[in-house]
Amino acid sequence: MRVLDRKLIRELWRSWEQVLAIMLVMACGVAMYVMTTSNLLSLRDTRDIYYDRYGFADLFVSLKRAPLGMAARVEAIEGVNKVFARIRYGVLLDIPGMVEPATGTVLSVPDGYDAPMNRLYLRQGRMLSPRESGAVLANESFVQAHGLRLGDRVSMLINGKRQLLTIVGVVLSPEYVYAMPPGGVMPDDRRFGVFWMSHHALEAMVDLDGAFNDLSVQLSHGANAAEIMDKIDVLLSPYGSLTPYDQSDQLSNWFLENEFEQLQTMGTLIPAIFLAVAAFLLNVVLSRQIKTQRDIIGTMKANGYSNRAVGAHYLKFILLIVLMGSIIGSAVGAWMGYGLTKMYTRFFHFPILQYSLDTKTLLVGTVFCGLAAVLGALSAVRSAVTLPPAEAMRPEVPPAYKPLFLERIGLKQLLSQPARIIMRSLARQPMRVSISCAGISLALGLYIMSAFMMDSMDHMMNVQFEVINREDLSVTFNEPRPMRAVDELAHLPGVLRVEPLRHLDVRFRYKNRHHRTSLSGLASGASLQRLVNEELRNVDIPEQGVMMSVALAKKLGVQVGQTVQIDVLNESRPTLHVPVAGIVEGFLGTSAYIDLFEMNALLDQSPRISGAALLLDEQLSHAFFADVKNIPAIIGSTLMAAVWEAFEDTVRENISIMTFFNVAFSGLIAFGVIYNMVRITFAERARELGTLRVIGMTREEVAAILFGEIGVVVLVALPLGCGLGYLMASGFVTKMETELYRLPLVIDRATYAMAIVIVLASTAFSLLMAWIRIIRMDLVLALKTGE
Amino acid sequence: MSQSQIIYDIENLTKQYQAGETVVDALRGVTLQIRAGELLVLLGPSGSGKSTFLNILGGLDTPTSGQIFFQEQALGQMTEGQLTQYRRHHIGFVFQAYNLVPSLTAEENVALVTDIADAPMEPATALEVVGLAKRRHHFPAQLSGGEQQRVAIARAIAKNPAVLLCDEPTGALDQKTGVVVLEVLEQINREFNTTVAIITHNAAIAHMADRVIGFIDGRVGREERNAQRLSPAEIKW
Repeated sequence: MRVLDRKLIRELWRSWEQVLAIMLVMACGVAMYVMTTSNLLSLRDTRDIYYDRYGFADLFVSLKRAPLGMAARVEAIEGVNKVFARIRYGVLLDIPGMVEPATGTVLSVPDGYDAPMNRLYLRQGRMLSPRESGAVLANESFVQAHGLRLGDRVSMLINGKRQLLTIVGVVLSPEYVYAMPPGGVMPDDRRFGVFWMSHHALEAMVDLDGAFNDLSVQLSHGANAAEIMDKIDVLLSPYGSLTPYDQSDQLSNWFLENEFEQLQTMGTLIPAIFLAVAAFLLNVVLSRQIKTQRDIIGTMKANGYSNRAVGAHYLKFILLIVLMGSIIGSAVGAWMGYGLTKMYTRFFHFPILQYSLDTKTLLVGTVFCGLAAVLGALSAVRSAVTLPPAEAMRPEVPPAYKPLFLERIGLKQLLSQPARIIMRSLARQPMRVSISCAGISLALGLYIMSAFMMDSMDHMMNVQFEVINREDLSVTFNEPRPMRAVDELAHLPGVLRVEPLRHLDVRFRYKNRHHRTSLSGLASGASLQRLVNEELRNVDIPEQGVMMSVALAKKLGVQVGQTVQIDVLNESRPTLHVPVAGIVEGFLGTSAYIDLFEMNALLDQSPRISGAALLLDEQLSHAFFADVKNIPAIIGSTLMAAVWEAFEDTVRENISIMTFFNVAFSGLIAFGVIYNMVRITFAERARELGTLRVIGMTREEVAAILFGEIGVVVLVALPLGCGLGYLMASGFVTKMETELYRLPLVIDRATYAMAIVIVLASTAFSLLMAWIRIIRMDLVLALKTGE
Repeated sequence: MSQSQIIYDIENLTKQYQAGETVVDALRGVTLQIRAGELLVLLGPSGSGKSTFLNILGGLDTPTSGQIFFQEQALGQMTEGQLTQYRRHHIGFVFQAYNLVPSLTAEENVALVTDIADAPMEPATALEVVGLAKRRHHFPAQLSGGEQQRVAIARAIAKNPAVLLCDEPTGALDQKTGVVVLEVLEQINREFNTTVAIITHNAAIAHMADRVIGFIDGRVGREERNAQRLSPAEIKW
């Protein structure tokens, strides 16, 4: 069918702008899908390769002190492949130019042989020589945060003694993809550093000769981790061990998992919606495109072309567009997916870049869009070919016009002649108008769903840091202290207010569910770390029972009044049974609170605190921090500003990368949809508009009719789209919930406004194009042919 | 002429349309025989049923009742697929609005038909017959109305059809151009012995026919045989 193919190519060429706009919609859907799917696939692959190559351990346990011989006993447990006994020690850092103290963790590396697991990747410099003293390796994110270089020296307070250590190498570790300070909820590259030192050198500094206080375990294939953890616990608990935990509770990995989960939601849900919307729009656009060719279909049939031949011809037309759209979409998606993976690789500090793109990903998007396009086209072709050809060649039968409701009730004068034409033509094509409306609304909703995330994130941070956590910083002691520590803190320079805190490492259990987190003991009447209810009103900590964040209660499936079991994982490791007294709002993490005195009573201890929340006089903060740096009992201090910053740099950054692409693509889709709608409306009405020109209407009058019709559709679609956007966003926030945080449903007015501006600008541009067509309209031709 | 074979045998043909809420009786019992090689002119006012009749002859539409045989095959019993084959191999159409595919050149519009016909002429030959050999690479928009109609005729005859059905072929043309188009139709009838049926409401055109069928109100109102056909050049309107 050479001639038909030529017709096809020429028509594609002739209507290139429209073909391009259709391809754009499809390419956006496909590109989005390919980009995010391949990025996710690549990141998971990268992480797996990283963990595998650098031997990320399966189980972890920390203890007070055990002789090295105990490590061999753990290794002898059935199912344990290898163990790695080392020293882990918390230090205070003194960084020149930094007012507030920073903390660090120093880990030992074996002397003279490779670490059996948790190996380091050397970014810069060299590894340590056996038994080398005075030298450390530092993690890359800390080095970068402070602009440190090889050969720079860091000052650390280790075991009460100040040590000056030279950085000889910059490294990455699978254990610290995210460097989270112990007990922290957010990575903090500025205020928390990880260092590695020769085992020999470190054991002397911290009085752990011939001993270890940290054990990593690699399991044999198919070993039962839970059983082995129990056995390790029994073996090591006499040595002051905490409960062993696996990869899922390892801080860095847990955080990474949450980030992946969030990427996964954004990377599957949003592209799926994009694809669905693109497919729907393709369906609509192509079916209308084909309807404008009904006279040609009639002629072809009159000349003896079979229904199948006509169908095949238009199918080819569609498939060509789909093919081009999918090639462009896939290529752009793969290219952007690679770039995105590269960005995330840097963001996560992965030492390797593994870009993976499978054929399944490429096919899914294409097949999905192709199917939708073909279905849309086929239904249009079918309706064209089932018409008797004689009828198909005539212009579409003018539908029965009815006087409008307004006219029938005698308000005819209210509408001008052009307004009546507009309103009638809208009224007689309810299906066409609704589909146009639906298309624009969907595009609008897609944009709002993509863009609202930042609003929601900002609201969440405001609530978290201005309503809930109002302290300037919190300090952590090296071990629980008596209550008078509060007074001692209050006497430090610049301290305006001190509120005692006690954190316990716990595992909550309710029925068959459990969750490991920390339990905070708060003093009654606390005003710095506040508990708020759903309406963000202050609630006081009850004398009895535990308060839980929404996320924790949901995770455990527990309700107010029910009793949960709390396994305390430090101290004497008691098991408590406490009723849930209330649920509190909180967007970050899973948290639980209990009255401080109740906590001490449950632990059977005299009142003790493990830290405090402080309000500082900013003017005196220098003096305050200078003093704090010399108090060995304070091993950590968390600045709320730093947590805020860390959240900005990690979670918000992660989301904003994805949001940027979502917003860009949804904007493009909105444009493509509106442009197509205007073009098709013009094509469908060309004959009628031509007639109006012939009978003496001016271009402006004719344009007013076309623009008015489109304008009404757009105006109706705007509120619908905003409503749809709200619904899509609310569905989305429930999907986006992770253990790390949950998003409130907040959409700023500016987001709605921007969505509306995009639609209006696209409409204006498309109408301008239509205006050019009206100017150029050949009246005779317009009367004879469909377009 | 009277000795030639009967190509259409039509008996008591009716056609009813549903138009909105009313039923329109487009044909109310037409009985007619058409012989191979005849040049027929179908006359009648708008709504008299002549277009409906032509569409049924061409297999574009099916009758409500009655019989219509084409070379002893009952068109009324044909399936949609058989009707397609029938149009493809035996019928050429010429429409008042030409119905050319605007994206194809004159030659390609003709090739649209020759691509699927059994033993077609070359598209160039067909265009030569209608005197448009030199314009074959032009697109419809570059041709005058008369030229477009001649392309449509070339497209219709290129398959060597047994029957050429023309619905108001000169309706959109001025007299001078109309005459050129009619001359082409007459020439095809003469040279290829193609049966030609022309619908018109221009009574002057009737003089070029072998036979004139007058439609009134869905019936054949009168039937006249011209003793002598005039050439289109001799017709004035």
